[in-house]
Amino acid sequence: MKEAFIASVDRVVSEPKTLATAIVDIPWRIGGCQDVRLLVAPLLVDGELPGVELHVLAYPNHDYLKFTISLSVFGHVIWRLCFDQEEGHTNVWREPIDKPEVPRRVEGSHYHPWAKNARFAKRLGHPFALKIAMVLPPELTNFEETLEWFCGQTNIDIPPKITLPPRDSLI
Amino acid sequence: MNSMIETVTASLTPLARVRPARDGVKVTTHCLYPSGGSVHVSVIGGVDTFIVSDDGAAFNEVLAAGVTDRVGDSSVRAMLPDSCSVRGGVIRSETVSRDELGFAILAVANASKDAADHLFRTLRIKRTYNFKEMVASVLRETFNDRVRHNEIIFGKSNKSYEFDNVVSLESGRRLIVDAVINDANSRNARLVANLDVKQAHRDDISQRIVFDDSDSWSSSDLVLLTMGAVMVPFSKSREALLKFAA
Repeated sequence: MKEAFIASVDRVVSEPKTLATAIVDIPWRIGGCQDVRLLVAPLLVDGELPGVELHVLAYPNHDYLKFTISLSVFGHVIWRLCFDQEEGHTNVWREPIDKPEVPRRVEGSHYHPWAKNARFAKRLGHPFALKIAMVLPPELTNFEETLEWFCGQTNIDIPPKITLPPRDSLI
Repeated sequence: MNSMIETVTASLTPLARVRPARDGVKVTTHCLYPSGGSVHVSVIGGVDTFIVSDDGAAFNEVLAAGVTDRVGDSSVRAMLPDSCSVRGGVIRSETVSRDELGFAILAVANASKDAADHLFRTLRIKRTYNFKEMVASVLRETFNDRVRHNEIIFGKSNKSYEFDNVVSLESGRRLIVDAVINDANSRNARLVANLDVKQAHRDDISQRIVFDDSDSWSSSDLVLLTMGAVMVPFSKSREALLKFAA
């Protein structure tokens, strides 16, 4: 089951994907807690809606720019980018020693590519912990460019025009 | 020994930090969430009293992992230590004094980490994966270009049915491999199609129904489906189909 799921995800990741609907039709909703906003945009793959979504988590009241962009396939987030200058991530699980591109620890913004995390997709039906993180290219400093980069990495054809929600509480 | 202490201290120090935040300070702790992200807590307060909170980070961890349905506070409340509470997805300490502040930071950080561990272990992702596609993927890997999709085959009633996967076997026969999930519509549709084709008693056609055995099925549903075709659990489908094709 796990191998078939991974093969299925591999296929979805490699295929071109497009937005299924105009982004203006998709509302931001409250996420895990009051200060988080979530946008879920369904994606078309080969003209069908097979359960693939672009997720954006925004933190409009945070001290500095912070957001998460994810690709969800069949309900599981399998590719995630965490934009957060203060975030720290420890790669407790390492790639073999001959793959030094995976650092022991990442400070600041980072991404969790499916290719490095597929082996952690163990418990189908439960959330996956994407344990391997890579350093985000430092030239990505704003949401628009970062979204475009994410879409390029995950084969989403045209980066959707998404605007992060404005701050809605007093500083 | 002193140099060893210095080495260990130097290796741990950069991992934990205290920095100013909007309405207090933010503390990066040595605790890690399931994915490896550091646990941060916020400290707000005045001169002598403080409150520590995780700003909802434990719940945000599972949200970022794809659990987009609202997760209630009650899912972690019972596992929190007495010194912590949860409200609106935010785990926080009670009001503590300066003397208790360090302990409160440790308690909230560990409670947040434990809550995230618990949610990752217990929350279920909605079954949205495409079982049909997974079966098709296994067939393509096993039989390569001998698999044809969306084939039309007539039943005894002369009604036509579309089958997702039909494998052309070397013997010249064709093997219908139908995928079914534990859903009344899926079961009924595939049962009717397979039953009608089976009743036609065609020598050149064999049928198998692959079911999603990661789900809980009632025995009566499985028995009912065997009236349409031989049932094969997905986890054993590759071996079973190869054996049949040999």
